[in-house]
Amino acid sequence: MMNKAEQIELLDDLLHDLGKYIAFPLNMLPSEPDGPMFQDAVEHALNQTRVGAQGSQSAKSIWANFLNEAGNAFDKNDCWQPMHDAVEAALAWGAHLGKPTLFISRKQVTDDIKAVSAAIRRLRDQING
Amino acid sequence: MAEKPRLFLVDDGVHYANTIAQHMPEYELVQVTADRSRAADGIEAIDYLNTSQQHVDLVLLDMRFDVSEDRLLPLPEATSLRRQRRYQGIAILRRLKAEFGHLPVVVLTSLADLSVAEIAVELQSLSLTYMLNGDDLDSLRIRIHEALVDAERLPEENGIFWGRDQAFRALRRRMAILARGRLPIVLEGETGTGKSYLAEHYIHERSGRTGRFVTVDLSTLPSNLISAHLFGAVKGAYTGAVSDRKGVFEIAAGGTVFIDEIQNIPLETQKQLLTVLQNQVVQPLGSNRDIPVDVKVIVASNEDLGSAVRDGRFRSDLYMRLSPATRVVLPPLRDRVSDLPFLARRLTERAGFEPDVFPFRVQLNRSLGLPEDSPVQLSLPDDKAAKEAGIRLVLPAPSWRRLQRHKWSGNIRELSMVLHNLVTFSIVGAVDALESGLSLSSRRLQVDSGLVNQLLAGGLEPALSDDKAAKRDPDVFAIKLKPGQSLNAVSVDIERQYFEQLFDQTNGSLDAMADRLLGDPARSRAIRLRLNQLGLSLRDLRRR
Repeated sequence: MMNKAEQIELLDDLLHDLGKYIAFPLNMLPSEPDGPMFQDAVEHALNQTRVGAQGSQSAKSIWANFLNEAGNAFDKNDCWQPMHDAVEAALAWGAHLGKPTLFISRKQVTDDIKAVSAAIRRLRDQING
Repeated sequence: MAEKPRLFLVDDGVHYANTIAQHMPEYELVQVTADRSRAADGIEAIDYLNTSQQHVDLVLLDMRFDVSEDRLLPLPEATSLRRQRRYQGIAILRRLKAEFGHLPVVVLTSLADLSVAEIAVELQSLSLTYMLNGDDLDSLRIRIHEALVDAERLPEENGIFWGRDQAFRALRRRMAILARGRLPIVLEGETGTGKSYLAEHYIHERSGRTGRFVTVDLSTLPSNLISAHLFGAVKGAYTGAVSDRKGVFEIAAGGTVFIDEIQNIPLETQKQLLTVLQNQVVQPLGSNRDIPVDVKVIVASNEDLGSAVRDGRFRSDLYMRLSPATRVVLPPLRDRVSDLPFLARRLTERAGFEPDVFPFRVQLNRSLGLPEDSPVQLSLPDDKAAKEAGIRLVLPAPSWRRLQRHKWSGNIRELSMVLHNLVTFSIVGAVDALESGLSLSSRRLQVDSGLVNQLLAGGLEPALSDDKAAKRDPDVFAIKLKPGQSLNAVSVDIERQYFEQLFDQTNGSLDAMADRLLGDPARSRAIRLRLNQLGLSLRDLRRR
């Protein structure tokens, strides 16, 4: 059973590793990116989400590691399911990589990916009281 | 075309390096190793800055470092390895501040990835304002630009010693922005940090206001007169109100009112001040006429107003109206150690132009064959050979260490007084030696270590006199005799020194001075009058 401090620690890590870095390439895009530039940013956001001393990690693997570590620790929190849905919605765009639909839906893609951080923070705030 | 500014990136990941390389061609990333344009951890960063000859304009610092334990700098408050990694940027920031205080740092973190409350407290305590609110490219660009512009500004401007300390320089930008706004500004800082000087010579000057700058020092006003002083009064409003008088809000119309020591404002006056701030009108005492006022309000306090609110001494609604968001906390000198060499040099030079030193300096310059107006300069232990323009006071290494370790509770004012005395004693001592027939050929004068110790240990009185009684008895003052044009001039000078020391001893309270001298604290008006007659203004006394 995870205590509150451990839950916060775990969510802080997720905020950093996933929340920050999944949105990073999109945040750093110029205001009017062209198609290839946008594709490239989403590709980086989802597949090379965290690149550091320990190598490269995809958003999917960061999320899987988190779920594995978290177990059912957050199941009773109201904000858990929305957060879960937000992450899954962002990850789902991985299936559209390289397809024209990605650029056509770029506003939705951007919104979904940027929503991850806010969703994690809401759960964190709820636990923190 | 000018060279591109060189950014030194400290980051364990590649994201920022890639982004800057791809989207910010106006900057050049410092190549740290053959294949990396970033330092991967704090140890590598500090090593590089210590050993490399490459120029660095600005440091970009990540906050979290997922590196092996042996590559982490110590962070005593981190309770786990995880937290040490998460907040590693703070440990690096501290080292950078301590060893490379002149280097501007932009902290690359965001509200999204950290426990903001914890991190914000630490960054604010270091007075760094470069925490990004988002990771967007434009905000990063703006932060880098601001930091570079700040770093290029002169360390001294209009009598204000900004120095090179990034935290203090960041306040300059903040105050310049706040100066143009309509909100009141709250200046907090220990005594001697320059609140009143900054209010007048920086904020007011940048406010774009054409009206007067008017100061009210609440610590020197009897509490029953504060309302009348601030808001005005009509004839007969109170005993002694023999005619209508304007309040400072009216006098400063179109300008700035600076309320010093705001924490001393009586509770009943706080309500009136709140009404003025809310409605932009004043109602003089005894009148029901509303007078519209348009003034910029700056208030200063040497204590945390938030704690005064918690203690019930300050109304929370007034506190909120004064807008804690516009609070500027001036750092104490002990938090600006990287600026100490600059400040010591400049204040030494300035002391050489003080009226009591000036004639001796001219005399000494003449004797040494130097131009009469050559300055007095301070030579510090680590100084490389510099072009010598005038007399150099050589400070021994132990004395310099003593100055560096000193707590400076009186802040720049205290440093200024210590250096003023060092200059006075050194120059006058050299002139005495000349007059007693000694021949001096060197322009380098060794500063007496004992004198430094005395000045730092016991304030000024013991240094000015060997009379041990001066250390013990608060009624005994040390007076330095100086030749005057007439006996009257000598007498005035003695009385002036006497009042200055009493002013210091009573922490600037005219009531306390009146109590000590006249046995009646209510007679502070007589003290004020005498100070005026002696040419001692309260503002100058406080600034010393």
